[in-house]
Parts: sequence; C-alpha cells; structure tokens
Amino acid sequence: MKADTVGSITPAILVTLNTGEKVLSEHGIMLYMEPTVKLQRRTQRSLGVSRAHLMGMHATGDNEENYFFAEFEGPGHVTFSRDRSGDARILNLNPQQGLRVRSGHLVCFDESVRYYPMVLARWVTGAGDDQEVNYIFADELTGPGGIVFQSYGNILSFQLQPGETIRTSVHGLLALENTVTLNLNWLAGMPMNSPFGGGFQMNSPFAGGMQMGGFQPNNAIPVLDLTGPGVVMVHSGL
Amino acid sequence: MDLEVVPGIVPSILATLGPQDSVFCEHGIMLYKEPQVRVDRKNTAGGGFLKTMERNTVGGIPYFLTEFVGPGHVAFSRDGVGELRVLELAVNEEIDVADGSLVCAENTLRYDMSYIKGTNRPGRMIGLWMDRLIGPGKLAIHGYGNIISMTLAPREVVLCDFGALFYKSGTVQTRTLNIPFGGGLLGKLESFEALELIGPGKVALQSVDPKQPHY
Repeated sequence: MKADTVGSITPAILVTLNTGEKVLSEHGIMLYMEPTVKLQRRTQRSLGVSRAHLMGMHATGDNEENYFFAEFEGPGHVTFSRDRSGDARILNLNPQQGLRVRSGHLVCFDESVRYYPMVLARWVTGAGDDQEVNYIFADELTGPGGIVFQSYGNILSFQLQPGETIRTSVHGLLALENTVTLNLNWLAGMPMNSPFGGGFQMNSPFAGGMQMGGFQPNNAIPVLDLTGPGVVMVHSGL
Repeated sequence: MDLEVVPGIVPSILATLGPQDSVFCEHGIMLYKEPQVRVDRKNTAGGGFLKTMERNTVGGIPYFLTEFVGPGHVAFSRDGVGELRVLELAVNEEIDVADGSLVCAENTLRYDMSYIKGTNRPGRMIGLWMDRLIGPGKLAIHGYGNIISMTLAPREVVLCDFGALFYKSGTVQTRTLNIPFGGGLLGKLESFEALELIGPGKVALQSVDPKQPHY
C-alpha cells in the first residue's frame, strides 16, 4: 500500500491500493473511498488470533478489541481518520520487525503484516472495595509490510541503545519495538506535608516489577521503565 | 462587507460590516462584537409546523438565526479544532453545508435546508439535514479537523462516512446506502452506512466527525 498523511492537526490517511492489494483497518474509521474499492469483513481468527486469546482479552476488560477488521481491496483510494487531533506515523516494517502500538491508535496495516492483540502492562490501584485492576492493551504488528498509527497529541520518538532506559507515564506510552523490555514501577507518594496531603515520603515497596495487590501509598504513581535496544514512542495527549 | 479568517488551531472569523451590511449565523457562536453592531432575529424557512418541529428537534437545525447589522466588527468561532473557508457564491449558485459548520453568511444569501434520506435501518431511520445557501454573497464555514476538497466530474462517485461530509455543491446528488461488511446476516447487520456523492460539482470532506469526541 502507499499511504500519505493529509492535513496536520487532525490528520487523515490517504491509502492508494493497486489491483488486488489489501489493507485492514478497524471498522468505522473510514472517511471516504472510491467505489472501485471492495469492502470485506475479516475476522481476527483469519489473522491467526485464536478465539481463546480474544476471549481472554475481553475477560480482562479490553472491550474495545474488535472481533472483526474491515478489509479494503484495491484498485482505488481509501481514506481513514481517527477523528482526533494528533500526529500520524507511516512505517514500513522489515520482515520479523515487531512494533507494539497502544490499543486505539492503529489506523491501518498491510495484509502482509501479522497482527496480534496483547496486554502490555497490568497494575492494581486502591485496596479493598476500591481496588481497581488497570491494563495497557496493545496491538503487536510484525513485518513485513506497512502500518499506520496515530497519536493523540505530539509524538516524541527515542532510539534506545542496549541497556539504556527511559521512564514514561503509563498514559504517555504510544509504541515500542518488541526488542524493548518494559517494567512497571511505582513512584513514591507525596510527602505528608504536601499540599495534596495524605501520602508517604518513602520508597515504594513495589519498585522492580509488575506487582499486583497488597498495600501501596494511595497516591503513588505507576510508571513504565523501558530498556533498549529499540525504538520507543511517547505521545503528549491522552 | 469583509470576512477575514483569524488563523489558529481553533480559528475564528472576523466580519467587518459597513453601514447596513448584515450577516447571519447560528445563535450562540458569536465571540465578540462592537457595541454599535445591532443584533436581530432571523427566522428560518418554513414548511409547516410539523416540518419545522421535525428538523428542529430531530435534525438539530435552529428555530432562529441571529442577524448582526453594521457598521462595526463582529467575530465568530465554532469552538472546534479545524479549518475555516470563506466562499463567495455567484447568483443562484447553491451549496449544502453540514449541520453545525456554518459560521456566518452575508444577508444577501438565501438560507434554506436540504434533507438527505436515511437508510431506513435502525440507527439511521432518519437522515440528515444540511444548511442550504443560495448566492449571491459570501459565507464562512468551519470544517472540523482538516478539509479534503475535490471536484467530481459528471457521474463520478465517491463514498464517504456520514460525519465526513463538510459541504457540497447543490449539483452534487446524494444517496445513503449500506455497504455490506462481508457476507451473510452478520455482514448485513454490521454494514457500513455511507453517503454516495454523485458529481458533477465540488465536494469537501472533513477529517473529524463533529458528533464524535475529538479533543
């Protein structure tokens, strides 16, 4: 596929398809298409995602994960929009190159790209009745082929060297290569004399992994430590 | 009368009115005005009590428009991220603008409404209304997101999402249809509701559906 960004603030993606060429997208984000383009339904199962895996994703609360994709077959033009302000990225993945894109940001991808939904991180906040399990869902895309995704806000891109680490907020992470290691940590809560009150000046007992449950300062902040090698993208919007 | 775009992420329009010049707009989108600019009410086209009720309550078309009479300056904004276009229509030239996109129009333009029938399936039983403006005169319109413009040749067709249509020439015909999403009953149930735009004429699309959250 040949993809181009149209506009800047809330970009649309114009895809040019040759005869028989196919591109997949989430159902309902098409802006316009030429009548020569054929629209078909494509199940996740046909992409190699097992039903058990999908059911498991839904059971964790990933209700936005679709069972189907829309498949557009050329020749012709088709345009997509995520209806939000942000920055679009068009990447061509090499064979076996993998990129994990936060769920809800994928615009479209070539039929040759392998798609697999996954849980990137999981953490628990609150305790007792207020306990809440949080997840970051992602779409894992493995080359070869073209992919397009969109951030909400601006994209900051980092090429991490082996062993190099950056820390991001759990909301800020947009995408990472599958060579990047992800660890969830906690930043200590606010000091007792903080105007926000009620917290602790302490080292969190939860540093060093994806711990779940148990006690934690109620205003501790979950963060993601990302260690190279590989590309990490952070976005400025939510 | 002059209409000037004040650019930015959320653009606005500054209208400079000479004595007795007037513009009309939807009620509530004025940003500021000079005190000497007079405000009046402009009634929308009729069609009977039931028709009016239908398009006002279901279609979201306002009961009244607001008229600003010069001399002086008045500014308008649609409070959305996007682009503004100022168009000048020739005598009897007609355009249809998506509901919620008209910013202001010169009072020499005739205001009407056009209706596009729905697809008669749940969720789209009722179609959509558009603001119709007939020249001569200038108007300013706000496209949510980025604007994609094209000119369709006679009988040339493009299919678009309902929320994507920004404006079209009066000569462009429209038809709503369901594009099956694959085969079988599921394909029919999940079918994509689209607008078919048939040339000749100008068409502009917007990259954001204003009815969706787009902060």
